[in-house]
Amino acid sequence: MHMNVLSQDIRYGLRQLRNNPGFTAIVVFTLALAIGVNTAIFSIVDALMLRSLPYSHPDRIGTIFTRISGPILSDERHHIDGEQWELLRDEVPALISAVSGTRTSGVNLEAASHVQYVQAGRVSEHYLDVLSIDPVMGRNFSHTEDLPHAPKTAILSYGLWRKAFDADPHVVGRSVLLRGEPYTVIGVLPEDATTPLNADVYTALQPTRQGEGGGTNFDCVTRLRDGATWPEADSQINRAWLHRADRYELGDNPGAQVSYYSVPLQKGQTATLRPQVLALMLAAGFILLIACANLASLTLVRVLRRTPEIATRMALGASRWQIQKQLWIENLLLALVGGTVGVAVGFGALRGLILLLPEHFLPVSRLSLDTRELAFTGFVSIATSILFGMLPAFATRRLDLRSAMANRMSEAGEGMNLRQGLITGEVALTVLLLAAAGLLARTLIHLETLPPGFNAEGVMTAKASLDDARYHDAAAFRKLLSESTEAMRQIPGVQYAAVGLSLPYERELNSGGITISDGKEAGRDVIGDEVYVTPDYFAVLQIPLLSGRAFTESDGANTQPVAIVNQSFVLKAFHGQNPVGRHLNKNQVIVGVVRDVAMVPGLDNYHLPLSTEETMYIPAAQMGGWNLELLHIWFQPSWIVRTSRPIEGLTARMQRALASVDPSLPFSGFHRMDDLLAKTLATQRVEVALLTTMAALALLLSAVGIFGLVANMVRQQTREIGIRIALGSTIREAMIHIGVPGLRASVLGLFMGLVLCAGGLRVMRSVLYGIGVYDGATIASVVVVLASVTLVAATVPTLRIARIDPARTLREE
Amino acid sequence: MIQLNNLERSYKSPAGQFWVLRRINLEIREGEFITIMGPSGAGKSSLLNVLALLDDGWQGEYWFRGQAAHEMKRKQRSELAKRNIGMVFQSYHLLDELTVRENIDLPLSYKDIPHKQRQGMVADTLDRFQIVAKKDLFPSQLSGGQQQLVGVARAVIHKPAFLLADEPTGNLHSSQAKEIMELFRELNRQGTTIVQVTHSETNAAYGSRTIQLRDGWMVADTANPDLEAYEAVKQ
Repeated sequence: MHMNVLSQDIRYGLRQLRNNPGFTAIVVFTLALAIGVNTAIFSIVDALMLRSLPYSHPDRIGTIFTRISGPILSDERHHIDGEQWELLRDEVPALISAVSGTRTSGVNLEAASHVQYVQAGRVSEHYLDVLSIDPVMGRNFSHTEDLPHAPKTAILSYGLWRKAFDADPHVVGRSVLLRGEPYTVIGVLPEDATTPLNADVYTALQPTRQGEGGGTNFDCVTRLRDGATWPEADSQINRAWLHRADRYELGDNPGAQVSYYSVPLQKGQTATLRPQVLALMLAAGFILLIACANLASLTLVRVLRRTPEIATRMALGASRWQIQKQLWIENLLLALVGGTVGVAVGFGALRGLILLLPEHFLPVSRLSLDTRELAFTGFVSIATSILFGMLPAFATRRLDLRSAMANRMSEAGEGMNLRQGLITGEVALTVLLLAAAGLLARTLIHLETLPPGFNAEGVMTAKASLDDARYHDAAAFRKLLSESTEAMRQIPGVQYAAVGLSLPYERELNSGGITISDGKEAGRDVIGDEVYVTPDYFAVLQIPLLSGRAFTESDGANTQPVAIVNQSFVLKAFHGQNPVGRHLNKNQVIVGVVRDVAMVPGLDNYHLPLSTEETMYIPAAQMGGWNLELLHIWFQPSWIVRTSRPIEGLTARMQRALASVDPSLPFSGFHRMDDLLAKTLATQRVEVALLTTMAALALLLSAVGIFGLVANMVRQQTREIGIRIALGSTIREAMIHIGVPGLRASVLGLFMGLVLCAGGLRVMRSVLYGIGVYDGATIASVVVVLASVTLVAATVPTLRIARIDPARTLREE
Repeated sequence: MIQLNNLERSYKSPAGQFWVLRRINLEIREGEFITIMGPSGAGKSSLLNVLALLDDGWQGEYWFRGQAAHEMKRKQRSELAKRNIGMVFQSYHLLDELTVRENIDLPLSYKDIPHKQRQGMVADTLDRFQIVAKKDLFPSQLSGGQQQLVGVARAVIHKPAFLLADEPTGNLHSSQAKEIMELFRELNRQGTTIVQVTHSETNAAYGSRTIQLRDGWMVADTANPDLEAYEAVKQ
């Protein structure tokens, strides 16, 4: 019997929706947008923070955070050095530990005479064990293979195996050329295997305390052994690491307290992204609240118009609960339809998001819309229907049956105060969203318009991996650079060609310490960056030379070692005094000073997306072979050409020029400098795009809400307006009388929104650059935009007043 | 069947207390067909709403078949009304979104009646009122008289002991009105106690008793010639 009643209510509800297509369309559209946005953002939150990592017992996999309390506070994941690794491996029996390079590097893989550029990850022997990944073919790295100078072996990802090796079932044991050296394939990973590195091919890291291990260049992952606990592991880690000789954590923090603790790997991988993603989820939540407020208002009006029907039902025996149940079922049907369409919107939004997001934005996890997201959508739909259905349902609780059945309702409109309150809330939230979006947009503009320090017009760049045994030799390296740049200069239209280890808008190599050898600063170390360049580097990028000279072809391997420094270096090391002629690192002579260029900082200002740092440029020809091997694991140099005009097929010609020197060395990709800037600021661009979209949506919804409120007032007060006009009121006066409540609600909402901003915007401090949290221009713009939109939304519906015929109104009266 | 003792109804207004019903003492016996008449503002509809238990703001005593409605809570009164009272409205108050069949079924849907039984009752009612052919039409597709017919059918489907009608023919042509009044007469003959409010003397003639109201007072009752003139009572 209850099922029959329920199916009857559902049937009546569907009929109501069908017979009111305009109302249904607006509600479904509003809900679909709001629920769709929430579903898409939740997918990111789910992938980032909620979904378990795709490994066995993911709660037993972790990484290590360092907590430093001193003059400079820090609580985050650090890279570790070779000494820490060996102590972790040998003195922390509670864990199975492994390390890897901090990121993949692009390398050249040659198999069956075909060379391709792939991403290689370097991992220690138990890396796959920690992640509980067993190769589907072959085996894991052995202990021997992870020792220095061991035979070179490689494990392929499933995708690479299929693509580059045609899924050869006999690939295990095959020899391939990787980094110019023969590697033996020992295994293939399963199809669904994914690691934090997300590499195409894995090789043994062979970590030691020297070379790469002499600095903090490793990431560690750990798994609790059976029977061990995390507190136990943390205790062992602290015992092992706190008595090391070199405590780099105290470098800038002498006397600080340092401790180490394990965190789940998922948290460790995503710690830096969480604040932004949670902010997006909050913004999406605001959108949903605004949508619910709008819908509550719309539904309230509609329910109040149905008051005679509701009163009749109650007169025929319906209880209040039965009436409310029916209203809630109608709302639920709307919410479910809206939610279903919202899934489609969410899917579309997610696909758009995936295109927007930087590569490997989500460590390990993949973005998808599956049962979890659908369940979330279902939950949000139901919660939404309850939220926006609650107010209208409560509005009928104090129904006066007699007046309702006689259709004698207050002419000002029942629930008007409630609706105005909803408008106020909507506008307040919209102010907050608009202000946040405005601040982020201004930050992005600031970053994009920072003085670059060079001329990006007419420049094409291409990277190639020199993580190749053939170029560990300095002479071979010099020959490659010299001949390839000469070949590129022969391309018609090319003005200059050069090579640099890194480009503007990229991170540079942290040298670890450049010593001043003479003068009153003698012996002082300057922490800065080092970039090797060929002679035309400054010319090709048009980086102004401020003093001295640029490098020439005569600055070679057997001549006086020279260096060029930038403005920041001069300021920090020489207090602004011209350093040309001074000596660094015992025998390097400074021959020139160049302007700073915008780059991705890695030292003091590492939290900024773009900045300048103290940089020392050295001739590529004077790079010693001993450090080329390590350098090219971390960095891929860029070939740069400047052209006087657009050249058709330039990239192919550059590739041919390189191939004329080394046919088995491909470029990994071509980029204009604008592309590099876009890539560097990708996160900021995504944040701005998303938040601006949501703020615009909130503004639209608020405007619709105000419009609806005033339009409804015009409709309900037609009789009163007609009488007022008949008694002498002008149209303008009538319009003001009707439009004022909507404007009043908006102004109050604006004021409340500014109050919300005073507290709420402070959390954005860490993501704003170049402007303050309470930037006057941004806040003023928000006020102007919102005021304009609400004025239009409150005024347009009142234009209908001009069409009211007082005589007809009075006749009907 | 129904006994009202000193029943009164008033509203607070800025000008003070405004009385719509004053010291109503009324006994309604089973099977009566009562007409309530009076000028506009006399309190006719107010009295009808009190009898229908749609209104809670009255004072005094209201006995329904020996049950003290005046001591009941709102929910109990609703249950009492649901079981025993049917109402016919001047404006029909059919639900536009429901078909004729669904409108007639509406009161049953609010009771705990098994679905099959409900279907049977609706079918019987449609047949009884000869509107089977119109069961799938919507109110907007019916004439005024047909709508009121459906309104009456809806009011009596659950076989209430007491039927109240507020100007049931107010919006109908005379021929349609006659049809409805004949129907009422038949229902009364079958045992339903009916109270109607009307301005029409023609309609009043169908009843067996007429009560006059003026300014909220009961000033005449054909069943009670000893009723004091209201001027005297007012003093």
